[in-house]
Amino acid sequence: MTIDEFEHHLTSTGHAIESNKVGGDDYVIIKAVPISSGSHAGKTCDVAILRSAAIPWVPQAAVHVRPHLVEMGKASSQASALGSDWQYLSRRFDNAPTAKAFLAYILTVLGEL
Amino acid sequence: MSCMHGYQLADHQEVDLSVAMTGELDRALSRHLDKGPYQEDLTFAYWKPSRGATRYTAILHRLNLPKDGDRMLQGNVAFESDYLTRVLAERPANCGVALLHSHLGPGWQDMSEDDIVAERDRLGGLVASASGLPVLGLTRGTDGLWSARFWFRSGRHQYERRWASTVRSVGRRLRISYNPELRPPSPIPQSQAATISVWGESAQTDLARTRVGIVGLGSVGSIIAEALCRTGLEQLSLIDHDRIEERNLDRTLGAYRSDVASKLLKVRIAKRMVDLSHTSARFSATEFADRVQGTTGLSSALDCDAIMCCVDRPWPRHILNVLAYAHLIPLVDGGILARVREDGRLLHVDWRIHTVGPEHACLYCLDALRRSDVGLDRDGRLDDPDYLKGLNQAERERYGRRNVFAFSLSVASHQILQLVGLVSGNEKVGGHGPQVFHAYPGTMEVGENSTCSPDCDIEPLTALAHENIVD
Repeated sequence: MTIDEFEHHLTSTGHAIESNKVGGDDYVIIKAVPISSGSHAGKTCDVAILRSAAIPWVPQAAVHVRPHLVEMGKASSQASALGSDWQYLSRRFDNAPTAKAFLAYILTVLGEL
Repeated sequence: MSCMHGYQLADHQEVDLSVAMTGELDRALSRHLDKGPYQEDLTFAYWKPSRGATRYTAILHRLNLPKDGDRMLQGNVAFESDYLTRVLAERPANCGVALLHSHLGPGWQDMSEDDIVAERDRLGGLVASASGLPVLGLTRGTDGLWSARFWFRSGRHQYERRWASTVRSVGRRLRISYNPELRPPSPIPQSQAATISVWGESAQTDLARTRVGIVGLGSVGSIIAEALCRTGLEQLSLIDHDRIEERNLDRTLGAYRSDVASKLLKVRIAKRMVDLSHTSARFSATEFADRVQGTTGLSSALDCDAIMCCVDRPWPRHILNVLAYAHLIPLVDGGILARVREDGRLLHVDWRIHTVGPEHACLYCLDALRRSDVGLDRDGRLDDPDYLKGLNQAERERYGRRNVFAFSLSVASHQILQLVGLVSGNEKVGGHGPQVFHAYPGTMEVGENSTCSPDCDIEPLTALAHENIVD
């Protein structure tokens, strides 16, 4: 999968996205992602995913969320390069990243907090 | 060095030319072209350029087989203009056009005057202007060996032939056809007598001419370099950015204390060693002090026929995994996992060896590499002591890189045997599948001849020859 294919999947499934460049890194920001389970069920948050033009796209072992969803330092969280309003959640995704599977993974990460 | 873009001869001067195809495509061509002792045949195909540091390779991508009425079969064979028109109209983006035909004799085939007219005069200008790439011609002998040449524009309405030095077919086996003028077999020296007595002159001649890249010249890589040059290989590409440190001396062949003091590059140490110990009369080892994710490292890897992966870092292994499929450069990979209890007692040691590329499972499908580790390595997390401290015991074990010289000797030995098996097709040397050795109780598990899982994102890249492998 390429990052463009993932972004196409996001827009085709009704997600609003925008891009953000920080330093030399490009991120795709998925706006107002609904959290359906866990301690934040019913809320929304923004999710940032590091872009890469390399083929195949290998995801960063992390998702970035805004606002912070856990106490900093807990649940494998740390400061994000995107800024102080963002939080870096260190998470592993080892499957072949199809667009559908990767979106489901993001929702699972949010639902497990 | 020439830029290797377009179809102008001036942009491809002093470039080594080559062609590669999958074993599957080679078999499809055999079924179509091999019409018995009295009839030649032809087909068109599409190809993509793969550009290394010194080699330009046409990666055959897919066939456009003739339909009824597309060619004239009268012992020899010629294509109709309508067939060419269709081939040009259906050409995928960024692909060149190749004409492949069969001859009725064995070995590397030369061209008849009719062959030259077909490729140079009927195709040269038309294909170059339509595709922006030179015409590629291939001829198949009755023994399945291929010859190949490119037609570059040398002036107004003028196209000049440049022969490829090799054509490789990459599948369960790596079979390379060599141009007898550009890559003639070396006389086999007396020093190879014992080697030939085991796997024969033909396998040795093929092995000696295979251009092998060794990525990582540490413990395993330094042993492989020494072994391959003693085995008679003629061309080695040594790729590593790292410098020798004292902690490497217990397992790096050819390294000395004085090298630590002068912070010598590992490639320099390896080159010094192989320049002294090689047995081939035509030996050349080229050193590249770069990471494979760097521009020089990647382009030098693209010059190789096969790569011995001797790095344990996930990101370079990911890149080599992609090259094995997308650019048809098979990989022989090995890895060591030594687990130790918290009190320092050894728990167990395993090592594994596998060949990766078309008709083999990729590193991800073999569970020899994890995507998340690639992401972590690319982000620099695996060099961050704070990050490593926060990992659980099992994860720290994986990144621990524990090793001793004897483990490396065993892994290096099996990687070399798998390379010999890949090149010679002799499973009695290389085995027939991925190997996992358990030091206790001392057993070797042999996996099935596996292929990638249906949802794998690496195998679909086969023969795409894309360039954006690294950001």
